[in-house]
Amino acid sequence: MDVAIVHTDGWAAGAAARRADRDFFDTAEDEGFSRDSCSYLRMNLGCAAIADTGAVSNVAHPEWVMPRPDLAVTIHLGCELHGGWQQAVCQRLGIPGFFVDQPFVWRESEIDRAVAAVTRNLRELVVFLEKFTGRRYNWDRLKELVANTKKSALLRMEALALCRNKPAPATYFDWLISLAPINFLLGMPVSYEYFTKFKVELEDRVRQGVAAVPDEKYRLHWEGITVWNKVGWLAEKFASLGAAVVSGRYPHFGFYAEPERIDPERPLESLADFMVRFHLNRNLDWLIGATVRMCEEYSIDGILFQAVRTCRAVSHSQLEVRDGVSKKMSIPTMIFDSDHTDASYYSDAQLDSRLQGLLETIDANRVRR
Amino acid sequence: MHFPEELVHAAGLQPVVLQDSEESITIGHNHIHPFFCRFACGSVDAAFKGKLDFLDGVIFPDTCLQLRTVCEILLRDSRFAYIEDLQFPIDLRRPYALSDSVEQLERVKGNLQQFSGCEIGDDSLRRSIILYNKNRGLLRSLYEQRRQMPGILSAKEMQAIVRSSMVMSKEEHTILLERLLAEIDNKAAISNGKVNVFLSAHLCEAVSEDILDIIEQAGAVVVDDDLYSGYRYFAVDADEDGPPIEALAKRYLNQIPCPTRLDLESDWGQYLVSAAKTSEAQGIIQLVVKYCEPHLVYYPHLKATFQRSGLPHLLLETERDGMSLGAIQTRIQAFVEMIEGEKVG
Repeated sequence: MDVAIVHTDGWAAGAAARRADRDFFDTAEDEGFSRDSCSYLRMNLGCAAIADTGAVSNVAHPEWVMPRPDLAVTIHLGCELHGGWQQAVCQRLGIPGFFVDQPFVWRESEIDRAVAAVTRNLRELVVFLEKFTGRRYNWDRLKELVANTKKSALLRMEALALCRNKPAPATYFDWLISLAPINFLLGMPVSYEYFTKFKVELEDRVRQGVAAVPDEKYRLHWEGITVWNKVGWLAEKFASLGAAVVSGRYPHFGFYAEPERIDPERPLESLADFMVRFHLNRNLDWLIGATVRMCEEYSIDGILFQAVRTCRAVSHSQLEVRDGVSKKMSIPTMIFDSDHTDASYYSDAQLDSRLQGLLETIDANRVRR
Repeated sequence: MHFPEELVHAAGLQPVVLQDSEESITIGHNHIHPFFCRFACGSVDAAFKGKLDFLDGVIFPDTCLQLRTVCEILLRDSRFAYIEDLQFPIDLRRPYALSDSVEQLERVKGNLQQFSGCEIGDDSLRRSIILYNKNRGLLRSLYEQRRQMPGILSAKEMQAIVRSSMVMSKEEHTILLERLLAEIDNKAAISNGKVNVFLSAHLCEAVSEDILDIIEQAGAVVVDDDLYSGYRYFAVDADEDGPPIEALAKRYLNQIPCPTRLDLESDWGQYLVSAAKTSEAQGIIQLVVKYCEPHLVYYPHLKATFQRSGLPHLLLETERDGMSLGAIQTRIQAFVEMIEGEKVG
């Protein structure tokens, strides 16, 4: 529709990674938002308040203040809070909004029905956008964007799979940074260019035995999101211990993880299929199974569970997943507390001691074998 | 948000609205993180301690992510013969909200029939709706009595009356309510000089009786509420004419504003200001359960609305363990004194 969009989650991640989060959190707190609520949401509503009052000059990083939107569109994607998020943004800014609802997948047998419902909901969104913009929907453009998304996502998944090699040519932290091309630049030719180059580079590294973590000693799986404020710092920390985080839920299960399912000629159905099958929208059995498969494919030695304090959509099932995985695989796990963008929940001392414990357990298991 | 119990009742089963556990949470935290609401953690804890073994089944209205988590955990545990998640649409104003709600209710009805071995016909469902409407109407009458004569029942007593309706036979509760309403005419109000307050929300859990006592001991009288264990439970009836499943779906779509739902055509803040005015409340105490994210996210809008309206309000966050009643008492005392000062001034 040639509508300029900002994806609020991705924006929050980027702002936190650039240490531009403080003003948004402070403003959100002044508005009355609790620290116990989703930190992506708090940053977004804090930014909304700044944009609404025009107090951009008071902000330390004005380049990260989003322009005041004319419209808010939210999709469920397995997180019920998105409805409340929509309500909060629309009420705060007095703008119209559209929410794309979707059913949670309790049983795999319900997927087709759920996809049909979400396809219908997306059609409603199209009607809404036509009415709002006064323009006819450009279906050809949508098909083109979906086709580009498929191309980029296929390449990305092929490149991800290269990290099954030992040593891994890239780590979880490289894939977090590479979310921007599959998120902000989704459907654009530059996204395809990025993953083409990235995959070539990784293939070269595999051929030459170049490791992302020199002297890769431990291969870990990250169950959670990340601490966006500390991506580089965490990458260095893990590397210094010879620990390569070679897989993780956030980049591996999200962001068009099944691109072969995309049919550009059926763009709405394809998008609906992606939304319904999104990892936050799947039942425990699926999540446990997917985690076990990932650990087997990537030769994982241990799993970190990041108890993401204010993202209950990710952390809600972790203790059950931990139990389920440990019943099927004898690999050690550890849990540490933090948050995806609110750094006040992160304790370096806690991560250090628990990570050390995990690695020592891996060593002890190896000796026993 | 409440599940339409009539559907269970019409199957010849006894619906029981699960109440929050007062025990400290121990083994529950093997399954659910401590930064989830008390009701979610307490329900899991109670289940794994065997405290819910008296139940034959559990149905969750898909209220929020945290309750969905409880459903997932209990499903995996497989201790109940019947577990259901009722997925009502979140956006109440979409054109398909009614048809989707009907579809979900029909699905649950089918499963309940299979589980109970009892057919849920339109007639039996309509009879259940009539009974539940009667009970709701009586509770609304009781609330109206309280608005007219504040203090006629203490906040604790009122909450107990509503909670008892949630857990016992509706037939029996209705008879008791009729008797109570007849007797209460003879009681006198005891609210002279007290500050009228409106209690709001405390979703999915009853308010601690200690807190209700503190409010009244501070010189306030509760004149009205939209508590989960209060007016929310019985505010709206279902149509007694027409298709009963559709009646239950329409009732769902026309509830008091709930922060777990998206409804851009209604404003919970305005609803509360208006309800407070109707009941002549002089202030609102907004009771938030710790970690209740839908409520926490809606709160800033409520705060802004109350400030614009000039209605004094107090936010009280309650938590399961380690809540300082002393600090709460100080805050409530200050709130009541502030309103008293405005009255005199």
